[in-house]
Amino acid sequence: MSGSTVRTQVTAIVEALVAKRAGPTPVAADQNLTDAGLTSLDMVGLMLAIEDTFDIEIPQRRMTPANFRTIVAIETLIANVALAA
Amino acid sequence: MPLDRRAHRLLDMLAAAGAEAPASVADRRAALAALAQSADDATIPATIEDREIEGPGGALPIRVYRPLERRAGPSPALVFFHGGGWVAGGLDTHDGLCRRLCESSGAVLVAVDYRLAPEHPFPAAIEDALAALAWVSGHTAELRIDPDKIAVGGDSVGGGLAAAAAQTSRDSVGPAVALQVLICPILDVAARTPSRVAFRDGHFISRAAFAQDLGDYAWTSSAADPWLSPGRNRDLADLPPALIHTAEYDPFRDEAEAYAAALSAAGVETTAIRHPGMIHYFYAMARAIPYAEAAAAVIGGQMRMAFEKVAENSAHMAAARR
Repeated sequence: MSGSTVRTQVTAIVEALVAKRAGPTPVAADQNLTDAGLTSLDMVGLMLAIEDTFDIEIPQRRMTPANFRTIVAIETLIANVALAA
Repeated sequence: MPLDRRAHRLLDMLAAAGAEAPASVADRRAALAALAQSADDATIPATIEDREIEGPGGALPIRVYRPLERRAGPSPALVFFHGGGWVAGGLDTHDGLCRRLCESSGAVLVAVDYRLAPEHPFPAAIEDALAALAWVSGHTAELRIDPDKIAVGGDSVGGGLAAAAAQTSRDSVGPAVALQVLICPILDVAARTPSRVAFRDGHFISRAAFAQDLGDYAWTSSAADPWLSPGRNRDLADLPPALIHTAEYDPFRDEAEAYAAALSAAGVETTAIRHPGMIHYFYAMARAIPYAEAAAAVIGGQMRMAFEKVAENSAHMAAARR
């Protein structure tokens, strides 16, 4: 998967969630998602959606708030998980 | 068996998200809503109508789900009370589960948006539950449902509301309840069972989180009140048949299984199923825990059989009268 495709897909997932929380879209790649209106529980939704979309399993040690703080962080996480697989 | 792999992963995700930390009422409501949106995106079709009935505290919203399957004559019905610790949850959080149960059981499902605590403490929730049951029972022709086949059901604290509604209906000669469907019900708010101890933390609802919900709902009430702890009621004879579903890794497992045993001992037809490897609320998180779909199919199948039995029994009684 190319970088731009991952970015596009992650952004779509994030913006769909932000829209549900009535937060502002579009969401910039380096914007803090908490500031965009996502709650800590939305992190679970992000994890489930990322796993589904990219057909990966996020290891427990990578399930940290830092890895879901921004679109760029999620993108990095996906790359790291894919590399380790 | 060990914790289901998908359930385990969900618990890891919840722990990473800090889901068990004490939270304000608004945060608890938002958390359940967020979880419902991400863990269950059921799009099972049903004919759905939102309406309002008159409740003890004013307008009481309900959502009526009709299955798409065609049926000659009136349908059986399930009056359903959602979980959420009396404080959170509503028609939307349990929409996926309600669609699934409606489809699998073939029953018209009436979901009740009872008043929540702390704005409306005990006994507002059970009063609304009883009002909804009475309303359904009084509107069978309009709803095209069979008055002899009205079930009550619920999950988590909603299971407790359903059990209490079944008891109250018996005692007050209220609407006849044909069946009670209790899914991971909370039946004794002060239970000190092995499952409460073993799964007190890290198993979806922590002991502290439950204490917070209970405090918001029923700070003035006795835990022994059967409207709050229907599992404490010792008078169980003549209650409607019961379908009780528990999860192996659920803190509230043992009180539900004890209630199943007590109902059986009192002569109530009772089927109890423990779902191996599962956690509290698994049944409503099908996207995260696919086994939830199988469980809903089992529950729906049991309901169909139970409603068939009601039909046979009333046919026998009619024949005996002739």
